[in-house]
This record gives sequence, C-alpha cells and structure tokens, in this order.
Amino acid sequence: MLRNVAIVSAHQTKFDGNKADERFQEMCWPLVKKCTEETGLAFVPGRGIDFAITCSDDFFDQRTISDGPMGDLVGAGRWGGEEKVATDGAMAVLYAAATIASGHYDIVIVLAHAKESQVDSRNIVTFHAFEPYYSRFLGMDYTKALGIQADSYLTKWGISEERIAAIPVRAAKNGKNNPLALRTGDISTADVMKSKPISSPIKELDLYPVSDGAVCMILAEETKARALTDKPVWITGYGNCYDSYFLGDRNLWESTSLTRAARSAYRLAGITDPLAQLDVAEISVQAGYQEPFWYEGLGWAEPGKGIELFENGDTDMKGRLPVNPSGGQLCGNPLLLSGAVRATECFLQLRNEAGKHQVKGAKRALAHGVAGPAGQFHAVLILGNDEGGKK
Amino acid sequence: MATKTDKEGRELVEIRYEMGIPGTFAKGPIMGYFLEKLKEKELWGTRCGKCNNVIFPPRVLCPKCMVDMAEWVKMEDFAHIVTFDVVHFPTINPLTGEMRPVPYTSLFMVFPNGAGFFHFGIEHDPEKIKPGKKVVPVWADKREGRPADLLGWVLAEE
Ligand SMILES: [Zn+2]
Repeated sequence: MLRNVAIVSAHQTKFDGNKADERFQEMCWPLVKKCTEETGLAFVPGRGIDFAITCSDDFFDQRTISDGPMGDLVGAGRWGGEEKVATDGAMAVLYAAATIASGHYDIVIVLAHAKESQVDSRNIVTFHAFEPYYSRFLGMDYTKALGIQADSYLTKWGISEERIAAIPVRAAKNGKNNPLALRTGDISTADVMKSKPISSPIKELDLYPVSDGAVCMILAEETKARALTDKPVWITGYGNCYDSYFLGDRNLWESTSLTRAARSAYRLAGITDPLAQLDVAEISVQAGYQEPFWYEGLGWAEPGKGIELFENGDTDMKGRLPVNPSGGQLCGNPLLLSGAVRATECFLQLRNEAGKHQVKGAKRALAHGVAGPAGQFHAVLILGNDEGGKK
Repeated sequence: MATKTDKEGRELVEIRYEMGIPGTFAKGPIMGYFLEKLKEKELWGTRCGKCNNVIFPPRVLCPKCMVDMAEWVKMEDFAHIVTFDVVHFPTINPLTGEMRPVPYTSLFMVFPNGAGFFHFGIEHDPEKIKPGKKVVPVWADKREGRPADLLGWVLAEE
C-alpha cells in the first residue's frame, strides 16, 4: 500500500545572472532555515527530518562531489542518509515522494542548487554530456541540440519562427509578476526576432538565460504533513521516461518520452482530460519552440497543433489552463533546477500564495522538468491541494 | 612513442583527451574574510553561539547545531599535531596545474581552543613528527589573500 505524500514547505531563491557574492552554502542556507523554521523540524531521523535528497551537478560545480557543500545543510553526521540526484530537480521531488510513499521515510528534505554562472560557459559543461568518440568531435552541446530539434520541429509542422517568437514575449510578460524572476519585461516578437542568433532558429531572447539559484522543500507522509501545515500540497501522480541518448536514433520532432511520462502521472492521479482537470501548469521551456511541443507531449494538443493552443489564448493567465504564470524557465532558471522550481511554483499556486501571478482558485497543478539533450528525459508531477484530491 | 597493441598484436587505438572546464569560484563573505586576513598573517575561525565550538577554517553555519556562526575568533599562532601522513605519490596542485614535489606531509592539528584542521607539514621525516608536538605557521613572503599565502606548518623550537 502506497502512502500519501505532501509537500509541506517550499522556498526558492531569487534567480540572478551571477550570484558572485555567495558560495553554494550561502546561497542555500537561508532556504533551509526558512523550511525548518516554518515547520519546526530538526534533523533527527525518526523524530524529525529522516532523509535528504540533494540535486546538483559535478561539472557545473567543478567538484566530483557536488553535494559535498550541502552536507552541513541537510544534516550530515546526524545518522540520517542522503542521496544526490544529478538530473532535473523534478526527479529530486519525485524521488523524495517515492521514499515516503514506500514507507522508507516519513519526512524528507529536498535541496537543489545550481550556479550556471560559475563556469565560463554552460555549453562547455553540456558538451561533456556527449561521448568522446563521435559527438564531441562534432562540437555537440545542449544549445546546439536545441537548435537542431527546433529546426526539425518547425520544419515538420510548417511553423514560422515569428509564431514561436510570441512565446518568450508571453514568458517575459508573465515574469513581470514574479519577483524572483531574472529576465522579464515588455518585449515584442520583433525584439525576439532581431535578438542575437544563437543556434538557428534559436535566438538570444528565445533561449533560457544563464542563472544561479536554489530550491528547498520538505515532504512528509499524511499524518505528519497534517501536523506540519494547514495547507499540504499532495503529490497525486508522477512519471518519468527517457528517450535514446544518441540524437540520431530519435525523431526529433516528436516527444514520445514526455507522452509516456505524462501518461504515467495522469494514470496515478486519475486524470483523463488534462485540459479540463488541471487548473495551472508549470512546464520547463528552455527555448520557445518547446512550449507548443511540450503541450503536444502532455496530450493537450495534436502533434503540430500545440502552437494553436498557445495562440488562441487557452494557456494565458485567463485561459482554460494557465501555463507558466511565473514566466517559467525562459525568465531564468538553471539547468537541473527548473523542475524543482516548477514544483515550488505549483506549491505556491495551490496554497494561494503565488502573489501577483496567482491563478485564482487553483486546486490541481502539473509541474514538468526536462533533462538531457533536446528533451531526451522528462519528469511530470501532478499536485493537488485538499480540494484537488489527495488520492 | 611505441604503438600499443593487444594480445594478437593489433594496434590499440585510443583517444587522448585533456578535459578543461574553466570557471570562477565565488569566495563569499565568510571565506572572503578568512582569505583577506591571511595577508596580515592572521588565522581566523568562527565560533558557534550555541555549542561554543570553534571551526577552522570558518564555515557559514555550525554543522552540529545548524545555526549561523555567532562570532569571528582569531586563532593562536601555534597548534599541536594530532596525526600526520607523509605522501609519496605525486598529485597535482589544482590551483597551479603543476605536480607537487614528493614527498610532502599532511598534518592534522588542533588549536588550543579545540578547532581541528589540516594543512601541510614542512618536515617530511616521520621520525621527527610526533602527535602532541607543537607547530607554528610558515608564511609566504608575498601574500595575496590566497590559500597559498600559508605555506605550511613547522615544528616549533623547543
Ligand atoms: Zn554549534
């Protein structure tokens, strides 16, 4: 029998282009303090926080134990355990939820951090994700992979770059209501179109900016969650799936892995009509083309028709299913962190604490994270407040 | 260079690759203060207001009590050896990319206020190094607020 799991506390930093005045611990410690003070929990396995899941990347942090600096913050030496997730942060949340649902632990802390600014180039890090015999020689990195996939997707469905340019425009507009967002404001599709070309057809304003930040959250099983907060946010469904590592194996214009991840999450949460049953969604969009693409993978639109859902306003703040009220990753969340930020944003929405970007009366939400080159890996979480069914 | 071959004499093709991910580490206010004080030949740690433990080099929080450190503490200019190791295999100094000369000595020491730490020992003769012996710091002539400002520790004159 699986146990019910809720997020009881979640905090995120402001996202900046370069937190030059903070080391990893200094960036993360205030968040841990907020979560532990809010819940009154201490790191005492069996009587407080039982276990920790951290999320970070060795190459970005330039050390082979990127969770090393996190030990002091998540109870190292207190006889609990810790595991590191080195992929998208949604997986850290999913992992924490699984350890609780299975009965291994009652209360788990999740701490995710990334400072993309610390390395001279984000692309040098993602270049190293590829094997050395063939792809590295070709200079492959995640930005280039995004460009190849964007070309493939737009060509397949005959979508113009101008139509995609509207996506970062809305992201920047939504982001204006999110005080933690980095790149926001009033921009036009013309601004996007004439911004610096990065990896055709992706342009500077069309690509998520380099940023630094962290997320901390605490998850608990039902009885303890009820004692820790009046507004638990239940994780009612989750799923993940990954596609082939080698780009040449994939039809880059389709996202089978997202479809499968979503199907698994929907099944657990009892969702049969996502557009009708979800009230808000936070999805990880690293470059503009991914927004309609992910709509399709999530089962919200037919292949090639995601852009129409966007254009007819269905996913605007006042639409049927508001998507990325926070502005999303295009406003600046580092690789690895986006899924955890999306889950935190859903947590805020479902507690009616999202401030100026609150979706009124949101009861059920979807958070999505992506990792690997060109959307290779996807994780989907379904969350609900007490009215959104704890399942 | 001779061609490498397998048991059947076939050439083994390998790809030589040197990886580099250049970047910049932020010092932050705590480590920044510590490094800055090295210029003045001063060693500073932090004290926890709850358990009173002093931690050296300084840290953002007390890992035992999980609270912010309460105050800065100037360390004494001597310490005592707890244990040591003389290292005979070559390792790279990550800050310069050069090989360290061998042998070199790692000393584990304790300050009079109880803070344990490790650093280089200038002495490499294991017969002369003993737990409990008193050691003093050896400073670089030119100090720039970098870890290498403190060269190591040497046995104090008896
Ligand atoms: Zn203490």
